[in-house]
Formats: sequence, structure tokens, C-alpha cells
Amino acid sequence: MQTEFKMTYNVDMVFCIDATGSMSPVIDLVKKNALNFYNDVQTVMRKKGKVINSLRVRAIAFRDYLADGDDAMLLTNFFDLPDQADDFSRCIKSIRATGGGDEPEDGLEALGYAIKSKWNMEAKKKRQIIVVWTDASTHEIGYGRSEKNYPQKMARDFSELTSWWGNNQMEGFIDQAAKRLILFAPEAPYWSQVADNWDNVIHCPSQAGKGVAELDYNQIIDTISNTI
Amino acid sequence: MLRNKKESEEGLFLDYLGTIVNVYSEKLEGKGEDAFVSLAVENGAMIGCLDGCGGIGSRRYAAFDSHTGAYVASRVAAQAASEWFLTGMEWGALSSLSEKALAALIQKALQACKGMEPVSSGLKGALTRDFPTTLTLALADLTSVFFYWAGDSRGYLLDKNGLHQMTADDVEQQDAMLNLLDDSPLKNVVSASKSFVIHKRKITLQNPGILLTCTDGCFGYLNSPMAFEWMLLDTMQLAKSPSEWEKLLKERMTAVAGDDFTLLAMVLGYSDFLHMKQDFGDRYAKMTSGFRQADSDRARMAWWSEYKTEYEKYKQL
Repeated sequence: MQTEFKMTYNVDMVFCIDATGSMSPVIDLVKKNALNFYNDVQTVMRKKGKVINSLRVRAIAFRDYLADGDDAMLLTNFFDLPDQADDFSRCIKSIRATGGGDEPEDGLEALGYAIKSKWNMEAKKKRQIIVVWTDASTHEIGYGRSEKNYPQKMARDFSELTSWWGNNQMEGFIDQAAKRLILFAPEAPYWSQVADNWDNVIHCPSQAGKGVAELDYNQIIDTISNTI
Repeated sequence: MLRNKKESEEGLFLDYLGTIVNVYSEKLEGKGEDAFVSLAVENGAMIGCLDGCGGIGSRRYAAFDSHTGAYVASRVAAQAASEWFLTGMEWGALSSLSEKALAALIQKALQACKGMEPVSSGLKGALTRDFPTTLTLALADLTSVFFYWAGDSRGYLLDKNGLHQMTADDVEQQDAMLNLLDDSPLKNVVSASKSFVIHKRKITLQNPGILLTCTDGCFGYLNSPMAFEWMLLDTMQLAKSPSEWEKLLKERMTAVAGDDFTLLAMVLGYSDFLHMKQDFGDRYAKMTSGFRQADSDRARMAWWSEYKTEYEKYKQL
């Protein structure tokens, strides 16, 4: 008699990587961490008896609309892993740290794109994970709106972006139960506001994850893997 | 309803107040974040399960042998609940025990833990809590049954009419079937970070029955609430004694659970194990037949629509 429920998960991850010039000292570390990250989540989930039915990863490299024009936001579609692991790896390795203009970057726009990803919505248990690596604060959303390549349908302000993320009262564009946002970012505008006000967020205050203690890293992976 | 204590031929004790089943298993040995309580005094008894929330409580503490906050929280809260029960019963009756006093006692114990420095504490955000755990307690005396809970560990009553969920999970999704497909974050959980609510429900039992407290590892890996009831009944009917029932339940749950699991059951009103098995015979036959017919997702959902009337009977009380 079939009574067991096979605990299968559809896991989607979006990696938002600050690709501005100031990231040069750490960009190789970030790329390495991005490539390890999904394997680490997968390993811990498997150890806990959680079978991953589908694993997809996409990348967003962000800079500054005003300073970098067409190179301000580079987006990929989802890669199906493990089949497209080599393609994803090549994509991540191709990211170069350059440009950026002033110190704040357009990280919130990257977050907007990430939240509106075409998530796997099949009625199975899910994880929809966004990870941000950056060493900089962010501009106010819409700072680069005067540029012709600025996305017309981007959230108008931080308040609208917050509604895209959603909360218990009002679901956003990402599954309320499945979503997790991991910030490897400094305590600076607007990352601190995101960490303090959005649900399901872990903020690891750092320069793009540099010097993160192994214990903290393990804690992040555990938090993503476990029910909360 | 309640019977006098009677020893069966197998040396069983099915007292009117007796904890007869205690099933506990850790997914990773020595790192289990579940804890339990099981206490009986002259005028009442208490069983309970606590599930330390590993997702939000994964900070580690040197003062606690580098265990996680979740591991510590379930044990500390279990100890506080035991103290609350024993002290309360020494001076009064079950009806005098207050959920607010329980919450205050647990909060005080967890706050004492919060003074300990974590091994690493760099992380911030809504997904990190100090010493989080769920809690579900079932208490019984000669006249009443009380359930206390916070989080998504559950309390049930199993009687010959079926399985009844006595607690309401602190999550958005309240349908127990759909909940199996969801991973809703907990809206209310015991912790040292935020205030929390302990819910309370009282019922009066008219017939013999079994009170259960379970962590989600017990029911969350089965394909329906019906499967959980069937597992309880099937193992009960196969067993010849309470200890064998424990063993069979543990084997069955180990085969499917992807988590630690803890189940405690308190049997009320049966003279012995055989009497209990006989009382559940018709129900077991009905459930077995139901399973044979519910051989597809669609059929299972249709069965659930019918089944949940009894399952949720106490939901609105």
C-alpha cells in the first residue's frame, strides 16, 4: 500500500553578482562561491532526506545604469542542472569586474529582475533562492531611469520592490513559503533596509562574502535547506 | 469512561492515565533537534513533543557543546514545561494550569540561554532567531484533556471514529492535506527573540481514546493524513504489546521520514492492549478498504474531502 510521500523539491536559484570594478579583488572568490553554492545546498538537502527533483540556476551580473549603459545588467535564463552545469560554469567564469561609476550600484534593480524570475511553480515543495554578492551600497531604485536601456517595468520605488517580494498578507512575485534571500553585502543602504524589513532574509554583512566564517556559511546553507 | 488499572497477561499496564508509546529517532545521530516530555503524577499526566527549528535556529553555542540553538531550545523548553506541570499539579489541578504561565516560564529559561555567546554570530535578518522550537503538550486527568501548542508540531486524538487533529498549525496553509505540499514558514514559534503565543484547547472525552503528540517528521512524509492514521492502526493491529507497537512505528517512520521524528501517545480508558486493538478493529478495516480504493492522487483527494469532516471535528472548538 503506497502511503509514503516522496519529499521532492524543485529548487531554483538566482545569483546576483556585483560585477563592478571595485569587486576585482574578490570577484574570483565570488565566482567560486557561486559555483559551489548550489552543490552545497544540494548536498545538505540530500543528507536530510530531501530529494531534489529539479535544480535550476540563473545569474544576473549588475553594475550601474548611468555609468555602464548596455553592460549595466547582464541576465541569463535558468540553466537546468546537472545537464547544463558546464554552460553555467562558463557563464559565471566569464563575468569580469569592471565599470560601476560611483560607489552605490544598481543592486536593487538586479533584485527586481531576480524576484520576477520565471520560477518553477509546479505544486511540489519548492525553494526559490536569491543570493546577492556585492561590496557596495545600492542606489535608490530608479536612479538610472534616464538611461534608454533602463527597464520600463522595473519597480517604481523601494516600496513597490518590497511588494514584489511580498509578505504574509500579500504574496509577491515569488512563492511566499519557498523564497529565501541571502545577502552577502555590506551593512549599507538599501541592503540593511531589505534585511530589516523583508521576511525570509539572511544578511551576512561582508564585502561580497569575503571572510565569511565557515560556521556562518554552514548556517546559511542549513537555513536554506530546512523548513523554517 | 475511565477504567481501573488492570494488568494484562503480557504484563501491560493500561492504566486510565498511562503513556504507553514513545517513539524517538534522530536523522543525524547525536544531533537530533527534537525533544519530548512524559510525566505522570497521581492526579494527571502530560506528554509532549518539541521540535527545535533548525532552519532559523542554526547558530551554534560553545557553552552548549557547540550544539545549535534549535537543539538547545527544544530541550530547555521541555524542561521548563516539565517544571510548569509538576509545580502546577503539586498545588492544583490541570484546569488551574495556565498557558501564559507556561509561556513566561519558557521565555525566562530561553532568555537565560540567550546570554551565551554564539560561536559565530555575524548573520542578521528575519531568518535568524535565538533558540527557536515548536511545542505541543497533551495533558489529561480524570475529567478533561488539554492541548497546548505553538508552531507546527501536532496534537491528535485517535478514537474509533478516526484521527482528529486537536491543534492548529501556526502556518498559513490550514488544510492538512495541502500542507503536505507546502513548506509554509511558521507564523508563531517559541523563541528567545520574539514574543510568542501558546495556544490551549480543552475537550472532555466521552469514549476511550489515544492522545498523541508528534513532531512533523511523523506525519509530514506521508502522502495524506489518512496514511498517518492507517500507519498508526496498522502497526497497532500487528503489534502484540505496546513496546512492539513502538518498535513497528519506529521502523515504519524511519523508512519514510526525512527528519527527526518524535511521537508520544497516552492511552485513556482501555483495560489492556488487546481491548484497545479490538476497539479499533472496525476502524482499521474501514481505513484499509479506503486505501485500496484511493489508488490515485484524484481518488485520494476525494477521500480526503470526506475524511476531513471527522479529522477536523474539533477544529472550531
